[in-house]
Amino acid sequence: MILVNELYKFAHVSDCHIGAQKYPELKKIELDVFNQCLDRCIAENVDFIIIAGDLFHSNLPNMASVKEAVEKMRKVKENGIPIYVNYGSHDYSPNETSIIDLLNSAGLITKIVQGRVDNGKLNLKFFKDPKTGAKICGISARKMGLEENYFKVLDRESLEYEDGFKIFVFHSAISEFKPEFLADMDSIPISLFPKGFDYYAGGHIHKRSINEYMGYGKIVYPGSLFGSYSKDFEINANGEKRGFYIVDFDIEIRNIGFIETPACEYNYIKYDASGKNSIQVQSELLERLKSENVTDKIVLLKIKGELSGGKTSDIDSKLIRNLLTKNGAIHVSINRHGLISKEHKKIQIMENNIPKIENKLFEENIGKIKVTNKELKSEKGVKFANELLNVLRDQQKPNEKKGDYERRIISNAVDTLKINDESENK
Amino acid sequence: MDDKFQTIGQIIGGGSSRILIREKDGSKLELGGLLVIDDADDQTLILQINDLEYRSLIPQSMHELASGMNLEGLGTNLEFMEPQLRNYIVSRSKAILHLVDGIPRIPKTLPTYFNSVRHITEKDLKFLTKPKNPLYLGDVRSGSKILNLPIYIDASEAIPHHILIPATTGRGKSNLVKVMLWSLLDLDNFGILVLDPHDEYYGRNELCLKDHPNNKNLVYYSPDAPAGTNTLVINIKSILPDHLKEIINFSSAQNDAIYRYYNTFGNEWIIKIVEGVEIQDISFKTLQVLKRKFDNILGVYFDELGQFQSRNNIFSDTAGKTTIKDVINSLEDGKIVVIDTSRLLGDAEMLVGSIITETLFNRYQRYKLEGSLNEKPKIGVVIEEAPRVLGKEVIEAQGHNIYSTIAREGRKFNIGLIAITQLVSLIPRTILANINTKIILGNEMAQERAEIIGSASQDLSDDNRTIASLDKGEAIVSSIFTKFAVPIQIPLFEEYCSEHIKESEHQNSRSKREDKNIAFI
Amino acid sequence: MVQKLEFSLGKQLGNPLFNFDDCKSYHLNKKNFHEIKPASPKRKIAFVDGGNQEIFHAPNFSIQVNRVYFSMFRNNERILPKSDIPTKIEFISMVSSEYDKDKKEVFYETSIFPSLNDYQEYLPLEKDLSFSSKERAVMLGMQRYDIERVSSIARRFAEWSFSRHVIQNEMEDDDMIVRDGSLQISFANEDKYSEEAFKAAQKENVYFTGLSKTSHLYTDTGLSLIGSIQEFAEECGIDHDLWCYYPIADRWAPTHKAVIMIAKFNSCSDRIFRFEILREQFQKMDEYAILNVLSSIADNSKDFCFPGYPYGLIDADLRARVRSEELDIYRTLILSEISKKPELLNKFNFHVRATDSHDILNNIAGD
Repeated sequence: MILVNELYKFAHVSDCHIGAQKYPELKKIELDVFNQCLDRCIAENVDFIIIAGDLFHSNLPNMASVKEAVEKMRKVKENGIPIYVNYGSHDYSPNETSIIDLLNSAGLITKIVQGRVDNGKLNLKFFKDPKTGAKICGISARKMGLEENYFKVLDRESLEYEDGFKIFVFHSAISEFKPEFLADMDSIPISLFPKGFDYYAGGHIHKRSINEYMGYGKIVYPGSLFGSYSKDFEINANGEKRGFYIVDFDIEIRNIGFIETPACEYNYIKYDASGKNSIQVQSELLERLKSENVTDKIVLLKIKGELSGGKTSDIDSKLIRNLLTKNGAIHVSINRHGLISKEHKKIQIMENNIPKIENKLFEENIGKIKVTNKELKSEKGVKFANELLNVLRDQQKPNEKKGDYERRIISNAVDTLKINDESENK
Repeated sequence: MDDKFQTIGQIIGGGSSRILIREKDGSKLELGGLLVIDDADDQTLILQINDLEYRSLIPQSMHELASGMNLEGLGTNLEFMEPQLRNYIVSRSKAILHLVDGIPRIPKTLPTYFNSVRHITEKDLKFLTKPKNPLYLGDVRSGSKILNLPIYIDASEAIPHHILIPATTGRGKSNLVKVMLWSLLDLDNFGILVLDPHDEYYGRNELCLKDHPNNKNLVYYSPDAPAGTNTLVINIKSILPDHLKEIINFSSAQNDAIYRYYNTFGNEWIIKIVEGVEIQDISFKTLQVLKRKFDNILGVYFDELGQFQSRNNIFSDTAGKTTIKDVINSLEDGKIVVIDTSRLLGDAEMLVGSIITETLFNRYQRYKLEGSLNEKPKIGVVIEEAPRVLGKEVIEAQGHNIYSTIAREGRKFNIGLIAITQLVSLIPRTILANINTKIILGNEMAQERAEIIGSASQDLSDDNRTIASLDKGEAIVSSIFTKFAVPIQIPLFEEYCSEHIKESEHQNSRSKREDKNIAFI
Repeated sequence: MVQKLEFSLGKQLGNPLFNFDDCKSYHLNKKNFHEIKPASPKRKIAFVDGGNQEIFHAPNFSIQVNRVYFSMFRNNERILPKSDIPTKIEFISMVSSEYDKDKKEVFYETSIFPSLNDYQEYLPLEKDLSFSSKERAVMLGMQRYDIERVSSIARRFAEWSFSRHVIQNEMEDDDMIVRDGSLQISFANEDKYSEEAFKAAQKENVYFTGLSKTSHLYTDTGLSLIGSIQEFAEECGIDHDLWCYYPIADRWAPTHKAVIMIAKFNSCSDRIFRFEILREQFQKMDEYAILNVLSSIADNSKDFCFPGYPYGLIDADLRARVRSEELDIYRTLILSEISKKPELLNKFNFHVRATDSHDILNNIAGD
């Protein structure tokens, strides 16, 4: 056994999602937890920090938030602590520069994902942390789980062959370790990961977990620092502690410690509207909310159930929000996805397929439109409407200029409408 | 005249249950062979040979004398003149199909006496068309001659009505299942769950399902997952007391304890039992017995450091939370999910199957209630050694389980079994009667044959000998969806799939050159 | 009885006996044994046989079913006719007797009804089949010949006639035809048909032969000629596998234009048969040619069921034979036709009953 006197330390952070929050009160918390995190890293004197993707919420996030985050990162750098990152699913764009590239060029952070695809095989290069000698490599995320293709062609053998203390950074869900509520999320099977790394620094899953599997070192997700989705807040409200990990290692992992970055308190209010009409719901809700303690809390209100009468829109979110804010809530988030009226439900059950629904709506409504042109009536009309909708649905292509896009869509629509000649004549 | 249309025999008597046909010398009629009689007015009768026997115009004593002389080296200058005329073979055949203007019917009349008989050709069976959802089983076989006529059943009909594959070892069961699964991979709208106790279908080290051109439809779970496939790891918390109860026999005290633990600890109940956490009113002894049982069956225990451990790495306290859901989602996406259960003991294998199947069944029940069932792919569950869950004794001892429930009710929910067994006799008649397609392979056990014949969709009472004589890869498909019990030759899987791969490579040779060098970021 | 038998068989073998003035018989002589060596005569052999059975019988008429059949073999393999000649012909013959008051004689008249019109050309003419009951050949021991026997004449004549057609249509140079039985003729007008057949054979150079299962030839000591020759062969120590014995007699009778020999055609057989070759052909043949013809027969006589007897004749016998099952069918057919005329049926029954008491007895005896 080798005795090593000094233990190294690194911090493993992910999913900071800076720039995610739109509301000033939440923006503040978002940056606050980020600052807490980096301050703690400085205080703990970690040797390096790994941010495993989604440092920012988009490739070009709100500059005010960026400014503040960058300032803190500079402070980290001044303390001699390098920050190693990969792209997350949010902060990479295939056709535009990312803030990550910018910061990388500025030397504030280091992208550690390096490699090339040769003859259909992806060879990753290790980045060696100069101080600790830890060898780091990884794969960035692409939107819609496209990074799976990288994993599929990854030359695992050469990575497994490399000696030393190895960290694999990634930003994907792993099929075997997905939390239950993310069952439908795209994921990569563990078998596509190279074996034998000491530490697998993961991001993307907003819920922290330390996993183990035969042949693999610790597979760790720190989860989100604060959260970017309402589901995250629900989890927070249910008592989930947010934060990051500080890992002690020498030739192997010695300890993984969780560091909490407390944000604020939550009040999660669930309300079941089943069997009540919209008027009843509105008054009952307001009455109940009056008695809730919401001071300095983020309030999550979840309204669900099937209304016995009235429309869902009868329930006035603004009124509710005003009440809670007045009572001291930092922020109010109302989730009414589970609230349905009877009519709405009917359509949902009958057709789950979007094109079918569209077609159905056209069919039902074509008769109401008063036109003389036979081409626009009955079956022909429905077909025509579908075709036109398809043309208009087309999205802007990567690298396509806005003007070009507009011209293309208009031209296609005109072709579909078969009105070229007439317009020219006019 | 084309060889195929040559007369190979002539009707010389018999009746509706057996028509006697004298074989034209050298025609080599075979048991199970299909013969055709072209009767007047575009009527064709298809017969199948059930039995063959020698007949002679020469008295038996004369044969015996001649044989004696031959054997003793006497009378070497004697012979039977025109032996082909005087010694011959008579086949007993059964009319299995009557074609009137090409439309198949059950035969009710006899063909014209003394009519000549010929071999069957592909053209005679042109009514056997390729269904909309073709599940390939093999090629039509007449005796041991293989016709260039593939046999498909419509997966959409056959799977929810269940399929039984009875055969003894070495008659080509797994080859057949491979061929069927290969064929099903071409269809996008069928979810097939394969519990694979021999880890033979994915093709870890050999040509098999993974090599299918449409392998995006294949999902593989294994405790030792090759790169790109899923690791079979199931969260111990997904196991409910009801799942276990169907598979394992518990005493009433144990049963009681199980529910107490479940009520106390929720989905951590097994962990708590295995950890040895005591609760009121449950005796230490019962807890110890349960601990040992779970270790034996699931291979889970707590080590000296107080860490939860799994001997087979399949049951985990942390990982595998979505495995069951993932499997079901894949099935619902119309994929074939092969689960390598080779590292699991029998009960644990059944348990894994049960949890998945039960969850799936509940989900499909819900779809039916909601009216969306018909939009979902139909599901087939492949189980080996079916009597483990469908056996009379098992059902009597433990009550109905999810498999027997599917056998009885699955059809309503578009879920069917593809049950493989050596011993049909262990499965109750009531269940056999619900299985409407049987792909009968060779079976040397008379009692098993009797059961198979007794539960077939066509009258196979004369086919006892034929079934006994089925060679490896030869089968009879008896289904309510086939017009008659079709004799088939199942191709050798390796050859069948190699050919398919070659064809598909040829078709894709031009279109499949991208993806080689993807840009890396 | 045994003593008596010992005496009658213990007599000298004697010499062939022919009770004809125009006949000279030869003494038994060892030199007359000739070895039949296996040769490879790949000639075509036609075998002809016929059969007839009575359907209805009354003193004044007889209705019979007749069948004549031929088959051909080469190298012991059956050859199908190259012409459109049928391999068998069938006909019904009806013989009726009329008493001529003036001549005080019974006249027999035969009518022939082929089962297919196509068979007509192979059948004898009806006029050749009518004769007086006092006519020489119809008489046997001065008794008036039974009407049934007369009826078989139609079949005999048909055999000759059919043979001729077989020769003309199917046979070539050096082929041979084997008739079941002797080449002797016994009935008036028969020579007309036999001569035509012989002429055709000579013209085509086809050997015309006959082979008899039974022989009524005797030696002058009263023993069966065939038995005597067999015994003589043993006495002489003839150890050839196959042999034939000739000459036996010289005869120049117009009713029997054949040379008789006795032959053993298979070593496994203890049977020997009387074999005849048309004399005019025989005389032109050297010994080699004669033995070559015999060798052809021997080659066809290897069947397990009846070693030493040509398979072709077994086959011909089987196919030509009219079976009693068939008789019922014919009987029914004819009765149903007759019954369309009730008066005729009535009369018919009267006459048929006159002779069918024998059948009744047979039925009682279960025969």
